[in-house]
Amino acid sequence: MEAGKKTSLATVSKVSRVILPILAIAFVIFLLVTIFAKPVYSPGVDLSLVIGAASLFTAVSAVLLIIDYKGKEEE
Amino acid sequence: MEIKLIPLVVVIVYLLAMVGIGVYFTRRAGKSEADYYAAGKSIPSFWGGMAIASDYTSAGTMVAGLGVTVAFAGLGINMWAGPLVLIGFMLAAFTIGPRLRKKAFTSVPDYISGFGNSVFLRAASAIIIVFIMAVYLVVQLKAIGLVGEYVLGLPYITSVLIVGGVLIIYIALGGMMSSIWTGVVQMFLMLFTVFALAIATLVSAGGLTNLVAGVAEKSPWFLTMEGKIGLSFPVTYAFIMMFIMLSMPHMIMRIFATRSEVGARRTLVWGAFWTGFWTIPWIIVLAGVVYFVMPFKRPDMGFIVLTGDLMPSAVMVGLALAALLAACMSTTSAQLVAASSAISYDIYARVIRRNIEEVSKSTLTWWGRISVLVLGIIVLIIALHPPAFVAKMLLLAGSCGGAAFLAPLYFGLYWPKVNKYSIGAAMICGFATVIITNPMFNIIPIKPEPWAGIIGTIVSAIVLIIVTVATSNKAGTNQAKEAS
Repeated sequence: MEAGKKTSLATVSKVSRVILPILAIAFVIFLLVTIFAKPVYSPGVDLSLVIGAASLFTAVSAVLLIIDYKGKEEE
Repeated sequence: MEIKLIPLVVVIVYLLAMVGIGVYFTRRAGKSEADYYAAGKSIPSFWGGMAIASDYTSAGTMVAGLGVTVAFAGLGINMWAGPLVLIGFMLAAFTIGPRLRKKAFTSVPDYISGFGNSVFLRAASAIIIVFIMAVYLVVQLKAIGLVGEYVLGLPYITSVLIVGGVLIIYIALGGMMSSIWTGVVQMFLMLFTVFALAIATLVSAGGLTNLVAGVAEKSPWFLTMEGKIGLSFPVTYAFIMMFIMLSMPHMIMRIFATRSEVGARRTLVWGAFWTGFWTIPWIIVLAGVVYFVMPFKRPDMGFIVLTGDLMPSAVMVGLALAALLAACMSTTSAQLVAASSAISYDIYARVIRRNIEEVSKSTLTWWGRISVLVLGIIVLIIALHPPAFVAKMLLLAGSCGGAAFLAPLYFGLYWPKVNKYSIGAAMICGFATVIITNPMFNIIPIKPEPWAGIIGTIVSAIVLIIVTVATSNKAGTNQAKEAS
């Protein structure tokens, strides 16, 4: 049980360590591209892109929660 | 102006339900200051996450934010804010959230004054919190008044007094416990109405493709990263939204209400989940307002107008109005609790009386209730004649919160050399920078408004680093060492 908890917590920690830098780097690239190469986005932001971003937001949270709860760590 | 009866009845039922929740939690909240301000540190993460998402979705989102987006900022503002808010929630969940919860804090000044056990830091941070929360409260109450006036046909002052009065009653009675559980009910209401309106928008437009094509033809600027006003506003606005998530006292106090460090982490990830889940239909609603409603002289009322246009049922309009009020009230309730704790728990019990052991738990709770009432009445009076636009005041409050508390929170938890001198200097310099550079005070105005918060936060971080290095030999009690 203890070992299971530790493994899941380590997984949560690992996943967050991978996801957070990726998100941060993706955002910086997004920022730079938008500022210096605006025509790339021409004619504009598709609505599905924004909905996709919000869905990604939700999905990442859901994945982290599933991994976290698998640890069966009590609150 | 004609008063609309059925929406009014729906709103009255909603308000009575909120008061009922406050009455239900009166006894439990009255046991001690931890019960009143931190809900007895007993909130399960699922519900806590829903309440934190509800706090995050305020008048700034559903009234002022909608108005700004559909009038001039465009969809790009959401592309900036979305990733930043996600990073904010995750950062809080995996960094400061569990560390803050590990210590038995009841308020943000508890954490700040922990550096060198400083009474000055506690008093200064409590005063800054009361200022920020008061500005924020006026914003939410003004939005409530405008919505009530526009939709129900009630005079602005009547709307503010009725809804504000209800809010003060249920928070004075139930403290953080009623703030959280009303927040949960309010989040359900917002999810239901926004999803229903998004579906109605897609059906009326003939699908997502037609909606995008229609918006592109009617308002092409809406589908760009910079809207009508360039990149500066949406980018800086999004950063302020992230600062609100990361450092505003009413958000941080939700962490103190969780059951444990694990609970704090899960609560914040649940908060991210619910915020993201709610944002999906909200994007469609924003496009729907541009397509079906704009141009319109009151863009901030777009949500209600779109509901009336696409779902012309008085009950549905009433529910949409209740959802808008819920967005304002959930945030306002958390802010009232944060401001009340700063007044009674920090200023009265810890600064004036000095020894909290001398103050009985029930006395402290009653001081909390009285401070909610007094502060609520003062804010209500200011909200009757509010000094500026909702969006401008929201940005002022968010900017002050980020500039005063972001650097102290993060550096303080992770850098062992941080001490009371650097925490105090960073907090005061950050706050002062916002006051000096925010165009509302016209001292050294920098436009657009969100820049004041960005500059203030950078100044605060630089001051903290310099003063920490310069005073490292005089270091007081260090939170980072104890929290790690």
